[in-house]
Amino acid sequence: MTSNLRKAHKLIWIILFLTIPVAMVFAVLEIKKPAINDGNLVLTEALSGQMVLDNEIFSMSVQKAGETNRLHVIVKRPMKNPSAVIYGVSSEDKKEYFLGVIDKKGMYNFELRDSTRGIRMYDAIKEQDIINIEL
Amino acid sequence: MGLNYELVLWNKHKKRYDKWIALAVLSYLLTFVAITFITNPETSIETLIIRAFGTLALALLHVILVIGPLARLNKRFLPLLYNRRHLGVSMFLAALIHGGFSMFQFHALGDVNPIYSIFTSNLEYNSLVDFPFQILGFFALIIFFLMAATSHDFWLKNLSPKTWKRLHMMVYFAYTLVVLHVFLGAFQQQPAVGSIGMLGLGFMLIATLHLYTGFKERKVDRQKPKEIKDGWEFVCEIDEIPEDRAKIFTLKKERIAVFKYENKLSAIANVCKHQGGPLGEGKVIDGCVTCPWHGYQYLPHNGQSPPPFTEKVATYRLKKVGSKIYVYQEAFPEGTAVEPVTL
Repeated sequence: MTSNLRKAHKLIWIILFLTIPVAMVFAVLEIKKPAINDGNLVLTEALSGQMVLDNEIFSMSVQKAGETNRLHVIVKRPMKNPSAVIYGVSSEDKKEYFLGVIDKKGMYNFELRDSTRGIRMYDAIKEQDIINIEL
Repeated sequence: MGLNYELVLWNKHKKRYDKWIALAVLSYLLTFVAITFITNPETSIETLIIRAFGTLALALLHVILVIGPLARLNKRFLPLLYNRRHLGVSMFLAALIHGGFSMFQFHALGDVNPIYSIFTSNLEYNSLVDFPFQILGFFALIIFFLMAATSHDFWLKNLSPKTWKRLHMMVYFAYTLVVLHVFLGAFQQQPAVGSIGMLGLGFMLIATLHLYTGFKERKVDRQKPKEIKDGWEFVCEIDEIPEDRAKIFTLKKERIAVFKYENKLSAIANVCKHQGGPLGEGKVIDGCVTCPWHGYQYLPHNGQSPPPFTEKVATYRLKKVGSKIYVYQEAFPEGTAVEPVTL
């Protein structure tokens, strides 16, 4: 290598040696626990207009819409989960029924059956519950 | 070196090393799949492929980045350097499979263009922990593609060695992007102390080796001349140079190699025209100085590659006083014939 190339290599590695570990440390310090797990669920009564869940990522409430109940979901910030499918859990033998897919920030509305007694959000890729709430 | 461009200039060494690469890649993938099935049998095939090829690309990138400094520290690593390009292309293919499957899994199922989706599905650009890490991997993959696509000597010749070298030094930027991609992506979702520790140690190993060799080279660059008289600089005693080998010296900030061969001495510039390899660390084979990196050859008395090749390096005048060797500090134009000093 020419002397200029040698200098360039050395300078690049000095910069990387000083900056990458700092970025690594900040990234590790910012690692969060999973947004919600079964241990910190909020159990509420499914009353129209009442907030079911409110945290830094999700806001969920059940609202009266004519004769039925509607689940109103606001995703406030991008989720860590690559896939999120939302199910209603029926009180009849606890069967789940498909409500829809949550994929990005925004507001979602899902019609709930009268028999609904729980909401489950599931990551099919990681195969783990994101949310599992009893109403 | 070859006169005509071929897709791959096969020889028995390259074939042997490529077989080792294929075997190592296959062993890694099988081991990864086996461990995943034992520890997490519910993993889907798509996720398994994304993870297996992502970690494979990361491991290969670390190996590629340590070969350079290791070859400078120990000549036994030179064969790896000779075959590094094939390892680089293998790494790109593994990264492409990782990136391609990730894009199909996470961005191809809607009605939004998958590439547009990579840039717009997460707009937390002002956040560290929620930064859209996939973009970092995407740009790293683009750099790896450019490097793999231009890895052939055809591009080295046509882009010019200077441009080619600049392009391929972007591997350091790509490596930074990859490290951040993993720390802000996979490690945020599945923080495992072992994985974080391994990548941290991998970075420290690469950085330490590069800096160690860099500072070691600086010592050579800063060597002060022992004796200068009328433009002639004393470099060493004749016995200090082994037969068919060279000794390297720094002359006006650039390095020269003084070769001893067939009872003669000749001095040429130390930098190979191909990829900047250190000619002085090579041998004289069949009467030609042979670069240790990729085998490019030069005649020691005129710095020219033997016909029909056209590469040329600068030459220097030598003189012998007793057992002492002196080099004239001004270089001749590249390819200028200089009468060797006869011993």
